[in-house]
Formats: sequence, C-alpha cells, structure tokens
Amino acid sequence: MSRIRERWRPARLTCALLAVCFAFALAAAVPLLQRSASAQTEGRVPGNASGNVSDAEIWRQVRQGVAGSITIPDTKAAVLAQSEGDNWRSWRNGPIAVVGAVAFWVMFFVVLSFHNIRGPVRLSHGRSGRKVLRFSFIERFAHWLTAGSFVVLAITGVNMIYGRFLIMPIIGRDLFATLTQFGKYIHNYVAFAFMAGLVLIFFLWVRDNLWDRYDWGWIKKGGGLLFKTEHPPAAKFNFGQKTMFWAVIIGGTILSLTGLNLLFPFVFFDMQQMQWIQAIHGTVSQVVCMLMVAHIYIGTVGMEEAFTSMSTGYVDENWAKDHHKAWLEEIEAERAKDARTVPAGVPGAPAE
Amino acid sequence: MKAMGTAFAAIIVIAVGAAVVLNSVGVSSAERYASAAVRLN
Repeated sequence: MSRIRERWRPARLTCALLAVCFAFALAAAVPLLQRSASAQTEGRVPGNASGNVSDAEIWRQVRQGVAGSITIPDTKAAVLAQSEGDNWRSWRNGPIAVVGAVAFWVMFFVVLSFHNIRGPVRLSHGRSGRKVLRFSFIERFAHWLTAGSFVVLAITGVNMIYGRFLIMPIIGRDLFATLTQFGKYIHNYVAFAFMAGLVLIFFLWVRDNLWDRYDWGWIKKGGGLLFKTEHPPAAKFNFGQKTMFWAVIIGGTILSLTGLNLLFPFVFFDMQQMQWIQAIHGTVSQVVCMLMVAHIYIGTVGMEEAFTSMSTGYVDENWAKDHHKAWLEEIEAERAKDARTVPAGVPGAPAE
Repeated sequence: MKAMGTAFAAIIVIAVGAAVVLNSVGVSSAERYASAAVRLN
C-alpha cells in the first residue's frame, strides 16, 4: 500500500501544484472579468490601439454628422457621412422620378384622349384670306429662345433622372457616362439662354397677361375648347394662355434660381439645403414639363392656325375672330393708321 | 421662321459664351476647393 502511495506521490504533488496555480489564476482573473463586464455595459471595450470607445458609438456619431479635422480647403469634407442625403436620394429616386413620370404620361394620355374625342379646334368659318400680325419678330424670337432652350434642358434633365434606368442598359455604362457628362455641360450652359428668354417674354407679355374683364367669361365657357360652341371673347391672351404664361414665369424663375444655386454650389446654402434645392428643381421641372405637353399640343396639331402665329407671326383674321375677338377689335380700330395687315392673296407674310 | 432660326442660333451663342465666361472666371469645384497641397483632378 505504502509502495503504491509512494508511486503516485509525484502525481499527487503535481495535481496539488496545479490546483494551487489554478486557484491563484482564478483569484487574479475574477476582478479582471468583473471590470471587463462592467466596461462593456458602459459601451467601452479594453485596448489602447482603437481607443476605449465602442465602434457602435463611433459609427453612431458618424451617422449623426460629426465633423472631424481636415486641412484641405473644402471644409465639407470634414463630415464623413451626411445622413440627410439618404432622405434626399429616396425623394429623388422615389416621388420625383415615379410621380413625375406618371404625371407626364397622364397628361400625355389626357391630351391624346382630348384629341381623339374632341378633335382639333378648327376655324369656325374657314380662312378669310386676310392676315393679322399677332406676334412681332422680337416676340417670336423670345418665345423660341425660351422654348428651344427649354426643350434642350428638358431632354438633358430627364436623362439625369431616368437615363440610368432607360438608356444605360441599352447603350452601356461608358457611352452613357460620356453622353450624360456632355449633356450636363449643355444643361449648365443652355440654362443661360432659357433665363434670357424668360426675362424677355416677361417684359414683352406681362401687361397682356394680367386679369381682364374677359377672363371670367372664358373660364365659365371652358375656353370654348371642351364643346364645339361659340368661343368666348378674349384680348391678346385668353385665360388659358395667361395660366400657361404665369406657370412658365413662376416655374421658370424657381428653376432659374435653384439652377443657379446648383451651378454655383455652397455659395449661399449648405449641403442639406443644396439637397432641398435639387429636390425643388426636379419637382418644378416635372410640373413644367407636364404643362408643356398641353402647350405644345394646343400650339401645333390641337388648334388650326395656332402654329403660324409663332412661325410667321401672322394669323388669319377668322382665327383671331374666333379666339381673340376683343384683341382683333383693337387691331381693327388701329388698322387705318397701322400697316399691320397684309392684303388677301399675298402668299406668306412679311413677318420679318 | 427666321425668328425661330435666329433664336436657336442665339441659344448656341449664349451657351458657348456662358461656357467661355464660366471657365475663365475660375468657379469650378477643382479650382474652388483645391490648394497647393490638394489636387482634385
């Protein structure tokens, strides 16, 4: 028995030594474990390399827009993440893109339905052959300056919102990127022609686009457009044209001011305000594009003789009698002393 | 149609003029936000 004990003595000593070491290790580890657990509950982790603040706290501050220290001139770069940009992106790719497209096509089908059901607005009594000058050279110049630049801005602008979904899958990333960059430059520079046109048409036509005594009668009869009844009298511009004029002036002014801020970013506004500026620019441009569908329709195939007023400047006297009777009466009153009319039978008109 | 043609020509002239002026006054992002130590190209 004693021999067996003697044989296992080293093993017992080893076990006892291990037990003592384990007890010491446990005694030393308990406070450490307690301190670590306490630190974690306060959001802190041990270690000197990455600081003693948890990653969650760091990223929370980043998401809240905390600014760091930088040495480059662009102070905005100090903010690593600007979370309001997520709201802007969802607004731009959501309501502006989706609702804008839906509204545009709804207007397109309304116009198409009008055309199919009501048909183009014809002259009540055919052409008289006598021409009346409706728009002077400078008026037509101002109109086409605004209209031409608007079409360019609309195409390049629509590409910025919808191009990556509609065009990029067809032509590929590289070509799309090149075209869009080129289109952005065109958008930036043609905008100045649009603003010039806007100022011109405002000063040329504002006096004729104020409310007058014919407007209420025009509204009550729906402009004579919905049903084939007698057209209500109007001065140079009827209420529908006045609505379009003020929509273009107000919408165009908003687009110009917001566009200038996008062209010269961060001069007056900070990052979040710039995102609002862009959202307003995109929304208003969609509204104006929608209105232009109706304007282009009624100015071309929707109304007989309407386009010639902006191409040659002259309209048939019967057209003026149908749509702008009060204005024609003013013209006739001045006819004796004003050489605005062209004798019947003269091909074209000396517009310029 | 001469008014339309003139207006379209004016659009091109104004756009080219704007490009020349804006590029010469140094308001691009690269020029505004660059310094001797930073190059944004």
